[in-house]
Amino acid sequence: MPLYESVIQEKPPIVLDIGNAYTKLGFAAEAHPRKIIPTTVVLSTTSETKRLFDFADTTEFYDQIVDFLQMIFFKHLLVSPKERKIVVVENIFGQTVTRETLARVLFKHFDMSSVLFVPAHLISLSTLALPTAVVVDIGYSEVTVMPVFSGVQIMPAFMDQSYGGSAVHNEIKRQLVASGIKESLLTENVLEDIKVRVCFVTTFERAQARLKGNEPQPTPSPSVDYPICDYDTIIEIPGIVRETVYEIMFEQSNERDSLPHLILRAILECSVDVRRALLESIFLIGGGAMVMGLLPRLKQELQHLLETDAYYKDRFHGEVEFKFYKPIGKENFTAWLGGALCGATDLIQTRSLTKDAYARNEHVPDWTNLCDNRHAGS
Amino acid sequence: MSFMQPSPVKYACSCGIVNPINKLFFCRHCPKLRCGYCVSHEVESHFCSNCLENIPSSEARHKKNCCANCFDCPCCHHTLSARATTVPVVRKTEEPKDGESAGAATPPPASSKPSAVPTTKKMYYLSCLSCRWTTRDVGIPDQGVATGTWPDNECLYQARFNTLMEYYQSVVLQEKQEKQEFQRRKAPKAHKFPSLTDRTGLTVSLIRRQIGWSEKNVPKTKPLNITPAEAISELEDLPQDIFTQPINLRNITTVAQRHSQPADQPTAVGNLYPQRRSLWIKRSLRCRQCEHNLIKPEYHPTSIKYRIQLFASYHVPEVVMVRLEHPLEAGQSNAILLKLSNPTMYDMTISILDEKPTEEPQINPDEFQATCKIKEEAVTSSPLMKVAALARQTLTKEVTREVRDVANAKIKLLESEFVLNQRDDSKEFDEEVQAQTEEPNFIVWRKGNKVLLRLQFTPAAELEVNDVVTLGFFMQYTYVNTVSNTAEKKEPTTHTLSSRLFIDAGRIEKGN
Amino acid sequence: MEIPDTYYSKDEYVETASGNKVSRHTVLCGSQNIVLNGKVIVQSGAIIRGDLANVRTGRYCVISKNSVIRPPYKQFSKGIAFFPMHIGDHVYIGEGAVVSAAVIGSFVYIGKNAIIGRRCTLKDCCVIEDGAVLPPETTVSSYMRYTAKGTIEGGQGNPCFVPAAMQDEMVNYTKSFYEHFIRTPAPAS
Repeated sequence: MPLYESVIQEKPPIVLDIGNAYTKLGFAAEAHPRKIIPTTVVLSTTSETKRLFDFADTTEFYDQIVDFLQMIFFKHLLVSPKERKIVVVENIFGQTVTRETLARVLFKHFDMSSVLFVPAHLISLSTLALPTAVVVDIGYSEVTVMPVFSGVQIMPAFMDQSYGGSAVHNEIKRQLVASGIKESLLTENVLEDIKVRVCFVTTFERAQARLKGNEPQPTPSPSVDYPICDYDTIIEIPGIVRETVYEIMFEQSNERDSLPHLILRAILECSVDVRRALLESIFLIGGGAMVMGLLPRLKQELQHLLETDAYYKDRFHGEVEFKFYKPIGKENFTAWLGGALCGATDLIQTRSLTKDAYARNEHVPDWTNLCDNRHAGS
Repeated sequence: MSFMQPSPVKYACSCGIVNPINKLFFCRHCPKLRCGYCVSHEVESHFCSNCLENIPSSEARHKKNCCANCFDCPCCHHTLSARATTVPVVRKTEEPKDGESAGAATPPPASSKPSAVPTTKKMYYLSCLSCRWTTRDVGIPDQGVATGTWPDNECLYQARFNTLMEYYQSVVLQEKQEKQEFQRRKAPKAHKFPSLTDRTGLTVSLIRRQIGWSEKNVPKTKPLNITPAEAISELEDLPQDIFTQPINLRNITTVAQRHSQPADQPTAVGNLYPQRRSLWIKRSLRCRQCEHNLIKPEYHPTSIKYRIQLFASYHVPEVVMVRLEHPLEAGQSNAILLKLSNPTMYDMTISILDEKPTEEPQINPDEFQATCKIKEEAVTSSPLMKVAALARQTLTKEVTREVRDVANAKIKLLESEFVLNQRDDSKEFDEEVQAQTEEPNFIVWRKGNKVLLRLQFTPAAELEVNDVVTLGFFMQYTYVNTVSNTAEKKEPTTHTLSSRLFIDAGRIEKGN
Repeated sequence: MEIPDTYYSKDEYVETASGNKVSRHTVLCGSQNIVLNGKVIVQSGAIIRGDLANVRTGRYCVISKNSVIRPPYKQFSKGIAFFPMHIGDHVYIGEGAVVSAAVIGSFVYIGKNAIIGRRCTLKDCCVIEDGAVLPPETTVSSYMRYTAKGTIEGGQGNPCFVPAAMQDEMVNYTKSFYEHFIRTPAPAS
């Protein structure tokens, strides 16, 4: 169709999803990101490497974003950012300073023609062609739950907790240090590698057995000898570590803030009419969701809570079966993929924040800002 | 002491960032110092850094910024080299002894003549000389040509993605049409009387209908049908052997290896495939103020030349720190020897100042902008471009930062200004004729375009041992500009410019 | 920073008619196969294996202490063969570097203790960081910097990593290195 071929003109829009640990980057209308790179920046002034979101003041942050985007545009995407459009996938509850600074860099330093900010949870659903689901994003620094019904994010039902990837890293470190391994060996990279390559989420039955202290305890998985090249040593990772580090997501406490609780509470925050639809459509995204065994465990935990916990029993009635969606592509770039779909449509022309609009008051419209919402009714 | 070490002498760029001279550029049109931060970068050309082939940007876009011939190792990301092996071509007719051994295939009679020399064929595989990975490790068959048809990553869900994309495009399009329709229908109500165009519009559509033409307006697009994803309740359980079987780390990919194959992110080493090598670019740099190029590299990948090269070291007197007279001591007067050299073809008059000289209004910024605009108008006649150009000028200015003053020593200013002679390459070979002139006593020696200068200073008294002593001063110099912004003036103009310098003199060695 | 003067004793170095300054404490195997094109400094402890194949350097090269220049070889099915090695003008090879490249362009800086694997190609104006290890058959193109971590950074027009005026920088550096590499003045007696 010629009408929307004009949308994907000579210069496809850039799609960027800057995560806390990894940044996904590529072009609109492509089925996977070109690159997935760590969100670290090599400073042009001192040439030291540091995390993008470690900063003392906004000037420093601004400079870091400049260096980071410079690398993305000229080393990875190989395009001149000038007069180009960009889609940025953002956390809807992200800090204002992040998006304001990012917009300032994109418009002032790189002279881009427009920016389209899209909320990660909502846009992830577009990869399923569905209007309704509970989107659970398991990221590096936090786990967020956002129910979406008929394409509307139910903001009051948003939940978040801090047991993301970095919490798992800390748990691995804690357990390994307790088993007598020197802390200096366990750098962030080593911990991540251990997490990804040897750890998994154990089954519900085994976790219950451990919890209740049943005799005999299930025999843990075989331990792994893990070489650390930088220090020329081999450490032993006990099987129990492999199996139990992810238990922090399912820890039972009075706070009722484990992952299954979080999902159920988020659903309960929604109106009665939509709850059943949400129960049967749970969608896990984010790099943390790629771990083996998470889905079956989560399902069993949810079912278990519904059957045993009085609080939920009173509120959910009838036969309930939790259902999950499989993403197209991999979980860690699902949100990016949504952005790529969005950038391929005409929305990039109509909904973007243009340079001229930004120049008028040097401010990014935000849903939390009353001034920006006042005229939204029309 | 190598030049790769950070230089102790730094210049403050016009944007307020401090840089050594080899990272600075000089815009002759402004005329101001510029650095990598305050210029706009552009992609000049694409090339492969391994086979050094230039790739036109349209082709680069088509190939997704990958080289067609070069591959990277999926394990260590080093370049793969093609290795040739000779394999004997097994001719079924070669051994015409027994029919039984040849099996079911009966030899065709045409090629029944057995050749005495066994024919061989060159086959290629890719091998990493860094980590010894080869394409044979993952069972990719050898190829007949070196740059052959190595398997490409294919995206398993590409078809689904395309359907999704078409679906959303049609949804958005429909929405847009509905909105337009709504506005169109709403619009006439604003008028009291039907307008002329409305009436003619009606007749036109009537006529069209009468002669049997199709309706003029586009038929409404209906969103395509799409089957939404289905939720599943049967989930893949953990493999049971995970609790009993030891795992082999060698078979599990690392995060970096997974991310280098973003489409499928394999967890098993056996699914790693050669990755097409990413292209590199040459950049050109452009001044944000006047839009002139500061650097424009030559097109060819192997060429090291520039078409435009406005390095600061070609236009600004270079200051090199030679040595200190005494070890540094807090509060004790000291002297530093600096070598200044003039890179230009005109003599320079230099003075050292301790505060910013009142700048002569050499170029009125507004006037300058106006001339730039005139130029642009001449170039771009279309009004659209002009609007864009104007918009650009209002926006692209980065906020200038204050130079962070880190100087902590008192400079004893020179008694007078002095002249730095022009550069003359031929003098290098001349006999040294030292025209004995009266030199100010702060000049230690002078040779060609170079002067060795003795500058006295006193580090601040409150400095502790091991504190870095930084000298800061302004260097004012005359600069003869051979380019001019206006067309009338062809004569080179002389400007008095100044640069702020910071010299990292070293650390305090003794306390007092 | 200005390069400080380096002094050498008259006994230690031989100065040729074309201005080469070659230490006596070097191992120059197959010296008939080694061509130094003038104003080249070969410091003590350096090894140049001219016996394997021809080695040819341009003008104003610096071959620092304890570095090894060794022509590359290639393995064939019927044994191995050595290939000549060409080094361009104004090339600095740092202390303890082991160089087995096929071609080194002009204005190249090789850091201390770098290892250049066999049959590498270093194009004009590239930088090899101190301690970097280049696997065999690596190509480092112009204005690229091969880091000690094993990554390639830079590119022409990128103001970081490799100076934009790399050519001038290397010319100045090697020339002033040569000019400041002077014989110890004879004691006034």
